[in-house]
Amino acid sequence: MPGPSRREFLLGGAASLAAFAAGSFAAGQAQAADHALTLAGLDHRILPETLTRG
Amino acid sequence: MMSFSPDGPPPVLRFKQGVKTTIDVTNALQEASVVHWHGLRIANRMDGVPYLTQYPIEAGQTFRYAFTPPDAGTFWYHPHCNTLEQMAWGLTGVLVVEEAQDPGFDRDLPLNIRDFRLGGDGQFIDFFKPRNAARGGTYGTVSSVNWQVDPVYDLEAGSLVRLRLAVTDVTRVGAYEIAGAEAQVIALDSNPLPVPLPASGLILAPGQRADIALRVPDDESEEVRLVLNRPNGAKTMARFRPKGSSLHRDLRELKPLPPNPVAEPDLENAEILDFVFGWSPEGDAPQSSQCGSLGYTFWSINRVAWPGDLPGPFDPLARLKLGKSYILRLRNETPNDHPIHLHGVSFKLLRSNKRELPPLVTDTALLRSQETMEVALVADNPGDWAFHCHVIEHQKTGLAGFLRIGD
Repeated sequence: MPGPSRREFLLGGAASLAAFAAGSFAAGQAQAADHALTLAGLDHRILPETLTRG
Repeated sequence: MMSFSPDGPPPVLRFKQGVKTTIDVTNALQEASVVHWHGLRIANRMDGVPYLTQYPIEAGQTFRYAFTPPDAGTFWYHPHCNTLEQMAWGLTGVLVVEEAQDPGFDRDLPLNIRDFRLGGDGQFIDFFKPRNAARGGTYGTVSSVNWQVDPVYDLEAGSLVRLRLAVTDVTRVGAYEIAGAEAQVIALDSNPLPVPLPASGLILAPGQRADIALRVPDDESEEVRLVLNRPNGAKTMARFRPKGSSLHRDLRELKPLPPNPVAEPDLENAEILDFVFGWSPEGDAPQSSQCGSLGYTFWSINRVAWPGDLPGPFDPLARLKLGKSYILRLRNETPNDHPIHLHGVSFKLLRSNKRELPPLVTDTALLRSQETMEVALVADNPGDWAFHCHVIEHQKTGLAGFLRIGD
């Protein structure tokens, strides 16, 4: 789905944004993506034991 | 910490040149974000810059990025919203676009090179100091490769390995070398070199990458090191140990990397555009938004400080006609380094008032102290393209703007 231009973003208001967001979401549900990234917080302990002040 | 994975460091993303890919980015943070694909010449609305190309991805939302990478090479990805904090917490990952034809390596090893700012107790400390942001930037305290300190990689003895160095740090400019083995730099910033360079004295700034062809020694008793030469001494960043009986490979067996399809600028008819990178003429703090502000303005481009990641509208630094060639004259009037990154378009290094420049194609040019550099490009990708310093404190305190290509 082609997204709105920057101008449309800025001038189109909430309706434009909602339509775009809904369209993106629908597209995302229609077909599995090739990749999935999840921006997530991690426990600090993911760092290895060796990670010390250098 | 933050990651692009719920249970580990950011994954290496692998795409194929010329093949469309889709990525669903789900924001499980407590704050907004976006993801920028550094170096990829893709459609503007997929570039991941808040308000300029898309609205921020709110907490809990998913945004689908879809694009076809035209170029092969080593790239990386990171947020462009609350950029300093989110990158400092861990959000930087390596992205590989594979060539259509395998150049003949036995192994491909991406190396995500970055610092973390930790205190003596291993906890995060303040991500920047204002007095440093107004100078060279605030350095991390722990240097890492792939989220490890001095990791050791076992490689087949006598094999050919493609090391993909990606400096994803927010501040550090450093000189790297491969010690203890035959090695050649074969590509910089995702673009193959016409002639390989020695893998020593290789200066890489935030945002820059280098592909190195490593010939692993034959004997298990030997050790290869990736070394970062810093003003206060050399530091081993990673080690590579030969394992097993030698494969007896030779660097000359590798096929040359094909050049990426970047248009050649028409220098005779190119228009010259001037950009001056300097301090801010004012002192007003950028306005805060959901994509954050550091609370200070120190820097400017053409005497204008970026007002912050806001809906705008703002004026571009320059308007470029679609398809036309341009020479950008980049003048650093400060005593500090500024790795200048242009989104969406690659450019060619032409000349400098300070040094000889190789004819490199890049997306991130390191401007040294008081250096003026001329670069050339074809404005062949329409849209509003962010143009900024990749020392993130500089970017977030004014040294940012955008170029508009097309109407």
